[in-house]
Amino acid sequence: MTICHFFLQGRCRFGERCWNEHPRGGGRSGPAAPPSQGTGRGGWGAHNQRYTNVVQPSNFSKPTTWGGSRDDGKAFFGPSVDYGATGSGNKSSGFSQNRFSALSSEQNIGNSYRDEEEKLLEGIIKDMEVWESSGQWMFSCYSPMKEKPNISGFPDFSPEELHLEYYNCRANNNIQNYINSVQQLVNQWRNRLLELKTLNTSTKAALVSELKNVVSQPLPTFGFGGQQTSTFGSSGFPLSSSSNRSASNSSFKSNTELVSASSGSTTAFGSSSMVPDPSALGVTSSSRSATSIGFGSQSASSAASFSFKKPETAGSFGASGFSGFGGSSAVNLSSTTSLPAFGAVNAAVAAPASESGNSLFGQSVSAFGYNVAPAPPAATSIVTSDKLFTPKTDLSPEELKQFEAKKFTLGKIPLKPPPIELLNV
Amino acid sequence: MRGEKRPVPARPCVSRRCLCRCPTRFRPALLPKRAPRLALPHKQPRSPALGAKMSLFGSTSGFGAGGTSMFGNTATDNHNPMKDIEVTSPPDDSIGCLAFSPLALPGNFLIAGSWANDVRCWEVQDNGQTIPKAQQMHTGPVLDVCWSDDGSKVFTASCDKTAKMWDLNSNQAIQIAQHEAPVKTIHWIKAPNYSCVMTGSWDKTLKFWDTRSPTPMMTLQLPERCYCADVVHPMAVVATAERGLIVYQLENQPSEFRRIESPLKHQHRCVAIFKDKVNKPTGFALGSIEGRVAIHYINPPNPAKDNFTFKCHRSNGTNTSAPQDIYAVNGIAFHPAHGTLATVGSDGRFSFWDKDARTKLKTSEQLDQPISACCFNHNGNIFAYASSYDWSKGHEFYNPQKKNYIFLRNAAEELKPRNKK
Repeated sequence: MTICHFFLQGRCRFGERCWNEHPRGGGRSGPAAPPSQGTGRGGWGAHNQRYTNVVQPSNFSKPTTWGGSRDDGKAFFGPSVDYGATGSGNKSSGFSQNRFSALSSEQNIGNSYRDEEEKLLEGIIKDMEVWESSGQWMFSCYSPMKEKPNISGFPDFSPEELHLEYYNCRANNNIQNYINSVQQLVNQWRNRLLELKTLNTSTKAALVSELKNVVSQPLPTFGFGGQQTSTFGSSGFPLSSSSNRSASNSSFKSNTELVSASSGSTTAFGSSSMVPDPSALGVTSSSRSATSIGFGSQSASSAASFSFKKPETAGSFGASGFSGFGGSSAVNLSSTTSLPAFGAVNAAVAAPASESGNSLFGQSVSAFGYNVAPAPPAATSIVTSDKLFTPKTDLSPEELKQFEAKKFTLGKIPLKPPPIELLNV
Repeated sequence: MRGEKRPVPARPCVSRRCLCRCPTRFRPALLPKRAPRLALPHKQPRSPALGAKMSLFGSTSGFGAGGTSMFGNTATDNHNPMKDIEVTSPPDDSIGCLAFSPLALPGNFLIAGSWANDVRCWEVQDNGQTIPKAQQMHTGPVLDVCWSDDGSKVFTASCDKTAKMWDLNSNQAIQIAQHEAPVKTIHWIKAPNYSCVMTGSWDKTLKFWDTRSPTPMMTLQLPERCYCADVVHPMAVVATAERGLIVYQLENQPSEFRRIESPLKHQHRCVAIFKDKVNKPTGFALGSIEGRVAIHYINPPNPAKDNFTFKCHRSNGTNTSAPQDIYAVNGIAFHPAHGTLATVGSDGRFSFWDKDARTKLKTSEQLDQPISACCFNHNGNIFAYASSYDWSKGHEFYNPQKKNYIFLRNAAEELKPRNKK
């Protein structure tokens, strides 16, 4: 059969349906969407035509995470449509460059699937570049791919929160305070961005282990989603500027605690997956936590809301210390052993039940807690602690009763982890 | 080609009705090629309604003198390039939220909450005139507003950590909710066996209030601060910080239905539920700060194919790899009749999209300020959008002297879905 010369250029529109031969090993054609999928490859066809002489295979060095040559049908973020008739030339051209890059280097021949990690890292680099140059909102969390947890070091603040802070500061006549805090946040962001853009080995290792920690393990009794990402020193602790010092001290403490804890912990709760390279993370987090600064506005509720550590001497740690879908704030650890019970119960479910008394999830908590399947991959962020199990003596009689019962009753779910004696694994 | 079987199209088909089986199914939207609208200098403010309204300023409610400088517009500003109707006496500070009255209330009433701590109500008449009707105050900026289903009450959520219920007939507002942090979202839930107000706050809780009682009927914990929410019975979606996304089902009593992995890489900014052809909520659109909207179905037959994301509100960096500017999507609203959606962004544009045909229907000209909020009225004839600073570039770009506007546009025609054949 005739060799499809469009395929050689990487732009065969018929893909698998093409009646000409597509030589394998001559490079893979970029567009992995067979027509029957009918994915929204928008201006794809139109833009193909514009490429007359552009695509020289040797030009491209690395594939990226976008599409690439993976035919597994799972495109990242679903098919990404590039809307806009006229001006989208740029973006889709950028797109097509990336698609074709699979064609490119000889590295790909015979090795269609690059290492997933490397793809992720490259994707991260690209995203960082775009983020830096595009003028988009800085204080946003980031995750390289749909299933992955948020990368640490990017706290999430909405424009409204900053807006409100400004108004509050203006009312108190200390706008300078606001400006300083924002400046520090910006610097923090920029540093983290640069770190990620120019990945050296230690950040790479940290990142990779962070991203890998999203492992779903069915845990015996409590059915945790098993997702733990140890984002040490993550998500800038929002502190009022005055309490900066003490906060960073305690965050240091928590890191070391965590590090030692994780090395010593048992694996019953799959917590071993939590042990990233401590030294690397210790290093990166230490560099970050010293400069973390944020707004203390959302603090008061931390007592009630389970997901934070209890307010410390530094007061307001509130808000963004917690990445809901798997990022865990190491900050959580620095409090007493009662808090590590965080790991005991499916975080978002039961805790408020005991606190506020009327948090219902429509079905019994145990159903939610015991079901591994519906728990989304990164649902619970389990923070290890120095102790995973409380000794029986530490539990109050009511908690003991709860643990011994078959099911937890809503409103009485204990905050501490269960005693090891009661576990049947 | 070489005497082989079927004819290969020489170029991808651009006709909308193309039946060829070429792989490129999706064509750019075929809008008639018009010359791009030049930013002509403004001759005079277009709204004829304003002339008539001068007399009303003195007579009605205390809106304050802020609104009267409407006629001072210079000739070359770009505050209304789309020549839409300006709402009279708009708020004095950034507008955070807009809401039109529901079907049950005859006529169209628009509510806007602003960062000047006030909530204002206008009556919008069919000829385009807007009549300021009333206003209420909070002690903090108002972040969200919504109507009750019968159109008699308006609920307002504010940074002063409370939410109030404003009875329009008596013009009284009472506090109905209390949180420990600013209340970001507020929605009215009308179920067959109960009705309540749902408030989402930055204190990471979602509370449900019976307006007669000071304690919430129910409190649900969120993984992070609530950033945006939407309710279409019996479904509710809440998007939180750190890319959290939770769907609730509201039958019987509100309960968490599913937590969803966010389809977006960055911070969530706005969310809107859409319905299917039989008027059941079936999915939602989620916008982020990164100029991207994700369409997500709850139970699609083919998730990889049905869920998708699209880029919007980006400057078209021309051709080469010149970096584009990426703007946040500040609001998404679905047309109640057509099912098409509108997005507004920090770039000062609004766009209409058809998510089923996966095409863009229209993009507006660029306003000189970001568009911070938008909404449709109950039958979809009016599209309202607010032009005010949304803090997307920090405090340096905040100009308290700059006027804020709310524009009304006739949306009956422009949002018709494309016939995809």
